[in-house]
Amino acid sequence: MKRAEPYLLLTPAYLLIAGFLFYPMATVFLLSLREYQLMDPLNTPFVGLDQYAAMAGDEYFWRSLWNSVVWVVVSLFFQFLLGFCLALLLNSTRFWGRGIFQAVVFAPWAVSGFLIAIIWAWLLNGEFGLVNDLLIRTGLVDQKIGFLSRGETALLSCVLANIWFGVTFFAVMLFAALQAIPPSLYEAADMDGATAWQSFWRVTAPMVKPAIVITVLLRAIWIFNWADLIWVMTGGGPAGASRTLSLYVFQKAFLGLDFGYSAALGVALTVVSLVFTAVFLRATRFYGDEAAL
Amino acid sequence: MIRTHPLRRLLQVTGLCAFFLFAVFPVYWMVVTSITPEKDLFVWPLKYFPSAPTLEHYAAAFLRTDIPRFFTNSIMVASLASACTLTVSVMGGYALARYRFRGRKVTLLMFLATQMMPVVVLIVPLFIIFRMLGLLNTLYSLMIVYTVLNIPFCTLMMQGFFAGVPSELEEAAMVDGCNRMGAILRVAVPLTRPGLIATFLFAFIGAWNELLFAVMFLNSESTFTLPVGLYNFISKYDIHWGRMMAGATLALLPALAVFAFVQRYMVRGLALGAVKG
Amino acid sequence: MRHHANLGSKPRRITRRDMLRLGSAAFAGATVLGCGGGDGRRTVTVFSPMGEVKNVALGRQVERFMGLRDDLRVELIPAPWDQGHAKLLTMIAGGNPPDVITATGQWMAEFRAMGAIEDLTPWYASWPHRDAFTRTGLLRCESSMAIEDGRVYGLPLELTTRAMFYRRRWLDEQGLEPAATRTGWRALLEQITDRDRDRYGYALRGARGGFWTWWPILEEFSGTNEWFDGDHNCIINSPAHVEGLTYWNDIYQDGLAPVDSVNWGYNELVQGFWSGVCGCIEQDPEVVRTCLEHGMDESTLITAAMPAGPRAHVASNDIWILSISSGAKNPDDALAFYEWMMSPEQLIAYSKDASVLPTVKQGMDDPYFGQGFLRPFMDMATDARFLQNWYPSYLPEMGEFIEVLVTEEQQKMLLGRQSPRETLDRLADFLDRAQRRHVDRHGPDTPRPPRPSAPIESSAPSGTL
Repeated sequence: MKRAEPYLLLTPAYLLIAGFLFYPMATVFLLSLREYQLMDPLNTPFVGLDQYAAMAGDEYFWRSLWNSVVWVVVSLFFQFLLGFCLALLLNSTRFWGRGIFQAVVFAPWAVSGFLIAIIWAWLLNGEFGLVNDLLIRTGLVDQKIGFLSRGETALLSCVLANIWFGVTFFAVMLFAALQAIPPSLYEAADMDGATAWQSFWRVTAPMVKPAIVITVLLRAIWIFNWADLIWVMTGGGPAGASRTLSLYVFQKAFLGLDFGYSAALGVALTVVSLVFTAVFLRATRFYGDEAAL
Repeated sequence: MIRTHPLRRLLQVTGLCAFFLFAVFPVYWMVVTSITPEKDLFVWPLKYFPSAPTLEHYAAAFLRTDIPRFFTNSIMVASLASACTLTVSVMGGYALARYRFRGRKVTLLMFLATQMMPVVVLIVPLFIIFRMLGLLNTLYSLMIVYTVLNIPFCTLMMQGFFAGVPSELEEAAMVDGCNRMGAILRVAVPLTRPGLIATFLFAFIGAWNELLFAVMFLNSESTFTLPVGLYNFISKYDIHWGRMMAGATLALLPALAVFAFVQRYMVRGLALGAVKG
Repeated sequence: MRHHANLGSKPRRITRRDMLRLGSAAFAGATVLGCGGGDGRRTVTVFSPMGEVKNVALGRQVERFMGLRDDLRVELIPAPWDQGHAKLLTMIAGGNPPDVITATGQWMAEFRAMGAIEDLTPWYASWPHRDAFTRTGLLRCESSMAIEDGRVYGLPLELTTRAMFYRRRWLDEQGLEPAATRTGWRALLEQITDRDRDRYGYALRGARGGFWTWWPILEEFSGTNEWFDGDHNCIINSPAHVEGLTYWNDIYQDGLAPVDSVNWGYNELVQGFWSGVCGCIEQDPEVVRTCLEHGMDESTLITAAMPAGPRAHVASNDIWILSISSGAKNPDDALAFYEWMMSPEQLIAYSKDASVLPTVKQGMDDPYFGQGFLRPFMDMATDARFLQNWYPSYLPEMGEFIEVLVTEEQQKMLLGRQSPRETLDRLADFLDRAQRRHVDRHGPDTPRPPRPSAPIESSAPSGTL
C-alpha cells in the first residue's frame, strides 16, 4: 500500500485543481469551438477551429501579442536585474536595522495590483503627478509629460509600476537562495585563490541557478497573464498602445461580449505560455533536473 | 570575514539607499496624499509635505463605508484560505519530495500548467460552479478560489523545503512506531517551520489582495473584502484620491506588520527550500 | 513520540482517518463564516452600479420600502462603476442574475438581446401610473429597446442629459458668457486657454466614453440622427459628419485641451475640470454634486445649455432604466418593489435625493428641478426643438463598437495617425457589416431614431419651469 501513499497525499490538491481549474478550463476550451456572442445566446453554432483561424487575420491580436512580449520581457529583465542586485547587496552587507530595511524594501510585494495601479497612475499623472514635479524641479524636462497618454510611454509606464512591484519577489527568492549557499564553498574557493569575480561565477551562479530558472519562469507566466494593472492604469490605451493579450481577452469578453472568441484567445494565451515554458526549460537545460522542478 | 574595502562599502551603501528610496517613495506619496487636505492635492508645484495635515480622508473612509467589516472579512478569508492552502501543500509537497512515483513529473507539469490559465476566462465557469454549490455571495467561494489558485505554487515551495530536510529522521521516527502521518506532522513539519511561514505568507498576501473574483462573487456589502470596498471609492465621475489613499494605507498596514515580523523566517525558510532548488 | 505497540515496528500506512483529521482541521475553522439571513423574510436583490451617491439614494428608497413590508428584504447589490457591466454580465451568463436590474440605455439593449429581461406588458397594461412618464423618458426607453412594439420591458428611473459646465472666473476675466453656438464656443475655448498658466479650454474625453461627447457634434453638423440610409448603408462618414469630427479633433490638435486628455476617461475628465486645469466640460447633472463636493459654488461654476451646431441643436439624453430580470427568483416580490419604486411619488423622492432629473411629468412642475444648476439640464431634456441624439443600440456589435473600436480609432486620430475622414470610414465600414448581418437575420425593418420634429414634451414647454 506504500505505493498509494503519494497519491493519497496529493489527492486534495488533485481534486481541487481538477474541479476548480482544469474542469472550468475544459469548458472554456469547448466554448472556444463555438460561436458564442452573449447578445445572441440561443444561436451558438459549433465552428470548430474557425475562431482560432480568425486570430491570424486579427490585427488587434497580433499587436496585443507583441505588446505582451514587450510587457513581459522588459518587466522581467529589470525585475530580475534589480532583484538580483538587491539580493547580492543584502547578502554581502551587515548593518544595523537590516530587518526593518528588508521589511520596507520588500513591502511593494504586499500591495495589491489594483492599488499599485492607482498609486502609479497618481504618481505619473500628467498634471499633478509627483514624477513630473520631480523631473521639472531637477531640470531634466521643462514640460510636463503625459506618461499614460502617449503611445510611446503608456506601456512603459505600466512596466515601471510592474518593476516596482516585482523586484521584491526576485529579491526575496534569490536572497534566500544566496543564504542557502554553504559558506564552506566560498572558503574553499578562497583557499584556491579565486578572485571575487571567479567565486561569483564558479560558486554563486551555479548554486542559485535553479532558483533563478524557476523564479524567472513563474514570473514570466504570471506577468503574461496579468491584466488588472494595465486595465486600471491605461485601459489599454491610447489607441491600443498598452493593450496586452491578457487585457484583450478581458475586453473581448466583457466589453465586446464575444465570449466564444474570448475563450479562443484565452486558450491561445495558455498555448503561448506552454510553448514558452517548453522552450525555456529546454534552453536552460532544466527539464532533466527533476529534483529541482 | 575580510574587512570591506571603503569604496566597495560606499557602493553598497549607495545601492541600498537607492533601493530604499525606490521602494519607499510611492508608499510615502500614498501616505502623504492620504493626509493632505483635498484642495492642496491639486496645486502646482506640489507640496512634498502637507502644511496642514488632516485625518479627514480617514474619517470619511470610516464614516462612508464599513471599513472595519471589510477588514474582518479580508482577514478571515485570507487566513482561512492560506491555512487550507498550507494543509494541502504540506501533503502534496511532502509526496513530491519523498516519493518517486509514476505521474510525478506529470503532476509537476500540471501544476505549472495551472499558472498559465488566464483567470479572466475562468470567471464565468467558476461563477457557475459556485452557483451550483450554492456558495455565491459567501466568503467560502473566495476561500476556495484563493486556496486553489495558491496550491500549485505553494506545493512546489513546500516540496523544496521537504527536500531540504533529511529523510532519515522520519524513518527513525517510523521505526519507533510512528505512522507516516505522524512522522510528517511530528518530524518533517516542525523542521520546515520557517518554510511553512514563508508559504503561509505567500498565500496570505495573494488572498489579501485579490480583487477580480471578489468583485464578481460578492454581492452584499456585508461580505465585501477590503479591495472590493476600496474599489467602490471609484465612482463613475470621481476618484477620491485622498480617501482612496487613506484606504490603501489602511489596507497596507496589516500586510506590512505581518511582513516586518515574519520576513526573517521567510528568508530563512526559503533558504531551506533553496538548498535543493 | 507516541508509540503504537500493537502495530509493531513497521511504518503504518496512512489511514482514511488520518487524512480526514488533517483535512478537516483546515476546514473546521471555515464554519464560522456563515452568511446572514434567516429571519423568514423573502429576499429581492436589486443590482445598482450607479456609483456611491446614487446607490445611497436608492438604498434609502429600499429602506423605506422595507419599512412598509415586513415580509420582504430588499438587498442592494452595489458594484464598482468600472466593473458594474462586467459583473452584471457574469451574473447573467452565469445563471444567477439579480431580481431587479438598473441599467443604462446601452446595457438595456444588450440585456434585452440576451433575453435577460422580463416582459412587463401585462402588469403595465393595468398599472394606474401608466401615463405618468414624460415623453422624453419613454422615447429613450424605446431607443434602448426597453419598450418595443408596444411591449414594455423597463421604465425610466432617471433621465440624464448633458449640459456645459464652465469655470465662472475664467469667463469673467475675459468678459465672456456661455456660448450659444459651436462657433462661439470654439472662440471661447481659444480665449480661455493659456498654456503658460496650465489652463486649457476643454476637458476632452479621449479614452473610453469619448464617443458620447463627439457623436452629438456629428449630429449637430449633419442635422440628422440617422445612422443608415434607406438601403442600410451607413452614413456616418458623410462630408457633414466628417466636418463635425474634424471640429472635435481640432480642439485637441490646436492645443485647446490638455495633451493628457487623449487618455482621459470618466474620472480624469471631471477631475480635470474641478481641479482647475480645464475651463469647461460637458457632463451629466450628477457631476454638479461632484463639483460642489470639491468646493465649487455659484461664484465659480456655471452650467448652461449645450451650444447649438450649424444644422441642429442636439440634446444628448441618456437614461437609467429599471427592469426585472427574466431569471428573478421571486418575480412577484420583485414586482412588488418595482411597482412601488416606479410610482411618481417615489421616483421624485429618489431624483431629489440623488439630484438627478425626474422621469415623470409631475416632476417637471416641481420647482426643485427648475432652479439653480439643474435648470439648464431640465431645459435640454424638455425642449421640443432639440434633436434627440440616437444610436442603433439594436445591433449586437454596438457594445464592442463603442467600448473598443471607437476608442481605438478616435485615439489614433487624436495622436495624428489618421484623419477624421479615415476614422469615420473605418467605423462606417464596421457598421455596414453589422447592419447587413442584422437585416439578414431580422429583415429590413430596423428601429429608426425619433423624428426631430416630434413634440417631445406636452405638459411643460420650455421656459416655464
